[in-house]
Amino acid sequence: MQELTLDRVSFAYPSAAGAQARCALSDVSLTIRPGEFVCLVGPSGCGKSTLVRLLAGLSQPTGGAILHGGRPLIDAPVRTALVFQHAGLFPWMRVAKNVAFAARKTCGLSRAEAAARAQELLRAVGLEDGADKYPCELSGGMRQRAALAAALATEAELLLLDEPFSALDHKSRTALRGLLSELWESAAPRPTVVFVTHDIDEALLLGDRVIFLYPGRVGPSFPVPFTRPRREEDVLVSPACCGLRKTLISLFYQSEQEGTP
Amino acid sequence: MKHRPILAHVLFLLCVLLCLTGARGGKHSPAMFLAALCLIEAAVAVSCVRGKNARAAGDVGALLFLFFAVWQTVTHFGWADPILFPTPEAVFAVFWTQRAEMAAGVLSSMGLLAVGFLLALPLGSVAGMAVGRSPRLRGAVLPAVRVLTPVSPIIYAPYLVAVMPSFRAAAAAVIFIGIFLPTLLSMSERAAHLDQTLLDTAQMLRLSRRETIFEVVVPYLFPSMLMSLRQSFSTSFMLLTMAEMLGSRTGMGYFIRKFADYADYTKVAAGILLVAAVITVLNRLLDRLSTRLVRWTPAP
Repeated sequence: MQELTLDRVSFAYPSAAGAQARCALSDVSLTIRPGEFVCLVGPSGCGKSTLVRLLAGLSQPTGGAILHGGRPLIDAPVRTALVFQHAGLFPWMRVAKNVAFAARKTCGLSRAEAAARAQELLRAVGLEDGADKYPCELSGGMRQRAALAAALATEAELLLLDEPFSALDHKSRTALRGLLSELWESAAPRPTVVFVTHDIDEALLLGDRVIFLYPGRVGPSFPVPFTRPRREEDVLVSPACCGLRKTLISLFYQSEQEGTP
Repeated sequence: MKHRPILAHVLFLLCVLLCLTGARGGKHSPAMFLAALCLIEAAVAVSCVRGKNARAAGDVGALLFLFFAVWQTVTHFGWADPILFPTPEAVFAVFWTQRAEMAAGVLSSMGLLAVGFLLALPLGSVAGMAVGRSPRLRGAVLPAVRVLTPVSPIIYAPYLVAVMPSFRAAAAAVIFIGIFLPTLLSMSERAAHLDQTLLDTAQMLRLSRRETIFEVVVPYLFPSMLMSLRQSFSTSFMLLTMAEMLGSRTGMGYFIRKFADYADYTKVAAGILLVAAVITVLNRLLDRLSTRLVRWTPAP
């Protein structure tokens, strides 16, 4: 994968006849390097999920361009996986089949190869016992593990996660953060990750860089200075972390003054 | 702790006692009625042993036995017109004396119902999916469907009888309309509100349009199809018996109509019980089918 560039990207949601279109993003420009773990933070409704949808190709920008290695993304597609807030697993397929299905459809594996890959990934995410269960039989945390396994099964170069842990309790969030870090750090090559969260501490624990989004536009970007692997109990109390946290919190308050563009 | 439906057992014994004491003076053999009572008691007992829905089974059993006990008491003591309210022994004896005609009627009715369901349910589902996924079709088709759906198709029966080649074809058409329209309506509304996350997942996996329809949309809508089947089932049975009463020469509805014309209310009552029994059995089969086929839906 090459560098991903958003060049003055805008997006407006279509409106009903006679009503003004709602502009979700306006002139957003940023660059994401290959293999980078970028966290997007910002207040609710600022356009984080919209940005992720544009990167995933689920929506097309109404202005500007998204470039991959200098070429429009539509001409130079990236193998992308997206993990939703609420898993996005097919409820009629057991967990193992969900993961195998993803492997089969994106990597062209045979059924047997896909099944073996699914078992391997479910073991890696600690869900081998849940392989034969339906998603409705799993807890929220287990569903997100399954969704992560399904995303990894696609061997994506670009991994997008849209608030994947926001619906979970603190213990599950901590466990899944650790799992994501571990899987990402051990992957070769490491996929580029864009992780959306409104939890500042989560962003500082996971990201190489944290980008703040004001409503509809991109704000400052902060490199995260901590080496990996990161221990939560060490990072969160460090002076550097406290400083970054304070800066980001102030940006949240500042953004309350911003209207949508 | 296993549930013991004491009331059901007591009422069962009361019914048996009433049956045996009433049978001494009666002209009908109580064998079929006793067999029916034992069958219900066995069903209650099996539910209690299994532990599944034991309490409900006990309550339903108790209500049934209470109904029979009241019926026996009223008829044995001559408190009701014996022509209009025959004894349960007489009614259940019909299941033996008219067994051939009843069996033929059940088969005929099931055949008609099957034709209606096998045509209307898939066509209604496919049409519903197509309409639901197209805003233009939704705008054009749904207003008319919403007007037509509440209209009982039995109203079209005189016209269908004139147009269709036979009464049986007209009856099938009535059932078809009664299932097709509600299925189209419910499926289109469900298809219009598909879970966007699942569609996004399908797009992320680069599924083709065909794959998205058959591997995502159809499985997603399958519980709705089953729900349409269950909801249509009661309506279609009602339409079936009414349609058969129109001019059919066979079937459960025809059985009831024929003996009503002869004022033989013993057989009419037996016909009604037959319809109730068939509906009960088919409903249970549908329940089991639903449970097996959509195990993945969360428990209510």
